[in-house]
Amino acid sequence: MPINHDHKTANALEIQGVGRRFGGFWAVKDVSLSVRPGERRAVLGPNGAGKTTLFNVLTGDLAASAGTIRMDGADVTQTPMHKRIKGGLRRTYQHAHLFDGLTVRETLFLAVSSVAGGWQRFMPLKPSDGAIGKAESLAQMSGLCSDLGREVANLSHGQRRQLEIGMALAENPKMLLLDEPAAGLSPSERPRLAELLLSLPKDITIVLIEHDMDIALRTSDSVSVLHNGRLLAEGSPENIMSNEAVHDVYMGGAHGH
Amino acid sequence: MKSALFLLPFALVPFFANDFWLVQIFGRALILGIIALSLTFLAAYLGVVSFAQATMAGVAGYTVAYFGPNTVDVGREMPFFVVLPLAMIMATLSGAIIGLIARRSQGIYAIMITLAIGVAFFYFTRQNYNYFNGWTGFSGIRAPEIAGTSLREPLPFYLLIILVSALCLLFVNGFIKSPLGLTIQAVRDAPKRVLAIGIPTTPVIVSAYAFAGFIAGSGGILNVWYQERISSFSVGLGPIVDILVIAVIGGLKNPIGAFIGALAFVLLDTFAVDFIDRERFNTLIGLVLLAIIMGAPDGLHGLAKSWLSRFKKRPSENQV
Amino acid sequence: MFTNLKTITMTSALALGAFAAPASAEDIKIGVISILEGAFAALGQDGIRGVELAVAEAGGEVAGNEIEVIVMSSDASPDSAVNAARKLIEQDGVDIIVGPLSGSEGLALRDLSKSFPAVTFLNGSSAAQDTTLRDASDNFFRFGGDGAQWMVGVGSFAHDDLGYEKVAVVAEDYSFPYTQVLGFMTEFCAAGGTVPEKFWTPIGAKDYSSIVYSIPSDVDAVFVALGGADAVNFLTQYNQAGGDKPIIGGSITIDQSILDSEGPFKQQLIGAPAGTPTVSDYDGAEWKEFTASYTGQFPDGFSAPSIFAHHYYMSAHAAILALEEVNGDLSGDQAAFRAALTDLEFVTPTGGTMRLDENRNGIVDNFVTEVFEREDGTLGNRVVKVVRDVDQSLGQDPAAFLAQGPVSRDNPSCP
Repeated sequence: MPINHDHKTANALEIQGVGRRFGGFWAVKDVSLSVRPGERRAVLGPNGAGKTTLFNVLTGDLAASAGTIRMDGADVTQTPMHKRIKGGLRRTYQHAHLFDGLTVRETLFLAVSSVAGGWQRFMPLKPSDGAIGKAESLAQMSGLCSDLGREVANLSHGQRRQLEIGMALAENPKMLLLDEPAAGLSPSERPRLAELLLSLPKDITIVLIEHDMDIALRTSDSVSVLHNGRLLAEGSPENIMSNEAVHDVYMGGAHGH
Repeated sequence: MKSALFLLPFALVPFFANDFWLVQIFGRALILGIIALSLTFLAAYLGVVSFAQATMAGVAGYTVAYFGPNTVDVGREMPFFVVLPLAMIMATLSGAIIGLIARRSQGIYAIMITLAIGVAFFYFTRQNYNYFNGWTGFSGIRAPEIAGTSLREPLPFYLLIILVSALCLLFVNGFIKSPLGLTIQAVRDAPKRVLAIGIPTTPVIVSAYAFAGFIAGSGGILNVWYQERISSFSVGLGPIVDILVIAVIGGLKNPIGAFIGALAFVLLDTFAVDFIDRERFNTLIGLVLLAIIMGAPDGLHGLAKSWLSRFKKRPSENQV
Repeated sequence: MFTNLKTITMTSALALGAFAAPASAEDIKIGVISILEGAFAALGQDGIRGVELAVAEAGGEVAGNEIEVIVMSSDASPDSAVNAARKLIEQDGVDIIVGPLSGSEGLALRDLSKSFPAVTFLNGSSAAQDTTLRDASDNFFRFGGDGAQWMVGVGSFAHDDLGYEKVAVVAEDYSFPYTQVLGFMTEFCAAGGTVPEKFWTPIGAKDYSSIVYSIPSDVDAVFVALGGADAVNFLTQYNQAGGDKPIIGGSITIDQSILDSEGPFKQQLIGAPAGTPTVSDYDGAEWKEFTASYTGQFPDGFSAPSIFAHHYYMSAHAAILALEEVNGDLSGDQAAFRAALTDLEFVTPTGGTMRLDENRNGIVDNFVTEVFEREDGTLGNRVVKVVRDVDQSLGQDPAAFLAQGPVSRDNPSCP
C-alpha cells in the first residue's frame, strides 16, 4: 500500500491548490485545506459551490485537475478509490443508493467484507462468520440494532441515512466524508442524526457537508465555506457565524430554496 | 432447503405415471426447468435478462456429444467421468465469457447482446464441421451405464433428473446467501455503490454469468442424454425463445418459477395439438401464454403465491 | 384463475398418466408427423392430407379394424420430430408412424426407430440418403426416393441433350443439397461432364455477390440447388451482375412460386431442366385419377397434390395395402405386416411400380422437367422425360456405390 502513515506530524487531510475542471468550467478551483486527526470539519456553501465535487475529488470518484491531496502525510492524488478506501477513507452519498433487495445485516456485512476482504466467497454464510459479528456491531453504532433483518427497501428515510453512516464505519475508518447526512430528514429525525454523529468515536476525522446549520455547527470543531468553487472563509463556528462575507453569500443561498 | 421441497410432488410421479409421463412430460419439464432456472437466477439476482442460456446448455451438450459415444465419426471418446466435469467446466466457462462480453449491458441492451451471442453460436455450430458436425450435428449419443443399467432407462433417468434439479435449486438458494451471491444482488440494486465500497463489478457480473452457465450446463447434459442427439437446431432461436417463455410464464422473481413454467410449457407443447384444430394449435399456445403474462405479471409462481397469501392471514412483516 | 386451471391440468395430467392404457386391440393407430408450424406449415398440412386420402380411400378401416389417425407437429428440428414420435408411441400407443417431412428429422426418426422395435416407421417425404442407405433400421421403411434419386435423369439430359460439358454448382451447405448434387453429378460425370467448382452457402444467406463473381466464365451452365428465398436471392443477384449461363435446378429450386415471382431473372430460367419425383400437372392417367381423388376429398386443398401429399400418401397407402394383406394382424411385433410391406408392389400415382430394395428404400419414378413459357406469358414446368425404376444406387452396383463413401461437400468430385 503506497500510503505512508506518519501520525505524529501529519495532518489527517492536507490539500493544496486542488481544482477540478469540467470543460472550461472550474467546479472547484485552488482550494487548500488542512484537517487535523480527529477534527470535525464542516464544509458549507450554497448550492453549486463545489462541495460535492470536492468530495468526489477527495475520494477518487473524480480525478483532480490540479493540486495535491495528502492523507496522513501520504500523497494520494493519483491513488485509485479502492486503495484510498483500504487506507481508511469512507464516504456517504447525498442521494443514498443502497442495496434495496438486501437486509440491513447483509448490507453491513458487504460493507465490512468489501474492505476486510472475503466478498468473493461463494459458500453459504455461517451465522458465526466474523464479518457478521462486525456487521451487527456496526448496526449497534448506527442505531439499527432492531432492524438487522429488514429489507433496505422497507427502511424509512432516516434509517437509510443511519445505514449509510453504518456502512461508512465498517473496518475502523480513519476519515469519514459525510455528504449532507441530514438531507431530506424530517425535523424530528434531525436531532437523532446529530446525536449519532456526536456519538461516533473521537479518533475518526470527519469532514461534513451540511445545509442544516444547526447540525453543522453543533457537530463540528471548525468550518470551511466554499463559494463558486473557491474557499471563502475558514474558522471556528462562532467566527464563521459572525463573518459578514459568509453571511451575504451563504444565507442568501441556503435559505433561498 | 424449503424450495427444494417443492420438488417433492415430482418425486412421487414414478408411483403412478407411465414411462411417457415420467420422462417425456415430467422429466423433460424438469430438464427445461433447470436451463430456465439459470435465466431466472440472472434475472432475479443480477437483474439481467439473458437470451444465451440455451447456448450455455448447448456448450455442455456439445461437449458430451464430442467426447462421448456417438454415431457420426466426429470427436474422440473419453470415459464419462472425465467428460462430465469437462462439460460442466466448458459450460461455466462459456457463461463467464458471455458475462465478460455483456458485463456493461443492462435491460434491452443485455437482451440484444446475449441474443446476438446465441444466434452467432447457432450459425457457428451449423457451419463448423470439425467440432460441431455442421447442420447434421451429433446423433446416437448415449447416457453412461452404471452397474449394467443405462442412466437413460426411464426410472433411473427420471430419478437422476430430480436429483440434479434439487441440487440446482439448493445451489442457487445457497449461492445467493453467500458473500458473492449477496454482492451480485448488490450489483443488481446499485452497481455504482458497489464500486464505491471498493468492490470491482466486473468479476461479480462475470461470476454470476459463470454460475448461470454451471446451472445451464447441468441441464444441457441431461438434455443431450434425453434427446440422444444435438445439432444446430438445439441451440437455435426456437430453444432460446422456449427457455425465455418458460422463465417468464413461471415468474422471474423466484427460482421455483422456472420449474412451474417448464411444466406448463411442456404440457401445452405436447397436448395443444390434441385439443384444437391442428392448424391453429400454435395460436392456442400463444393465447395461453399471453393470458398467463397478462393475468399474472409475476408469472405462475407469483400468482400462486398471491393466492396462497390470501388464505394465510399472516402479516408479511414477520417474513424476514 | 390460472392456479385453478393449473391444478386442473396437473390433476388431469396425472389421471391421464395413471390410466394411459394400451389401445384397443381392434383399432389400428397411425401417427403422422409433419411440420405444421413456421414456413413449412402449408406444405406440411398437405402431407397430412396425403395420409387422410389413403385412409379415406380404404374406407377408414382394414379388415374390420378401424384406422385412427393421430397427428403431431414438429418444427423441422430433429429434436421436435423425436419428441413428437415419442408422444405418439408412448402416450397414444400408435402402431405405425408416417413421417417426417425433412431430412434431418428423417435421420433422427431412423435412429429412434431402433429403440421401438414394436412400431413400424414409414418415412414421410424426408429425403436424406443415409436414412436408409447406411446404418439402416429394420423397422424403418421409405416408400419413396432420396434426394439423389430425385435428380436422376437430369445429369445425362444436361450432358447429352443440352450439350453441357462444364457445370458449376451453387448449393446450400447441408445434407439434402449434398445428396441432390450427388444425384446430378453421378450421371453428369459418368457421361463425361466435369464440375470444376462447387460453392456451398449457408441456408438463409442474403448476399451471394462473392459467389456470383467467382463462377468461372468458361462453364456451360450453373446447377443451383437452393430452396425458396435463397434461390430467388441468388438468381436475382446473378442476373443483375450480368450472369448469363443457363440454369439447372434442384428438386426444390424452380417451383411454381419462383416462376410466379417478378424479376428479370425469370427469362433466364426458360428451358432450365430440373429433377423431381412429383409434377403437379403431370398428364399420366394414374396421376389424373390421383389428383381427382385428392381435389374431391379436399376442396380447400391445393389445386393438385404437392410433393408432400404425394409421398405421405404413398407411405400410408403402402401401410394399408400391407395391412389388408395380413388382415390387420399386427401381432408378434408386426412381423407379418413387415414381411408384407417388404414384398409389396403397387402402382404409384405417377404410373410406375413401387417396390422396396433390401434397405427398405423405394424404387421409384423420377421426372426431368423444363421451364417453358405459356401462351399468356407465364412460366410453368413441363415434363421432358420420365425415368422408371430408379433405385438408391442410381443404377450402379450397390456395393460399389456404397464404397464411394457418404456424401459431403467434397464427395463426389470430378473437377
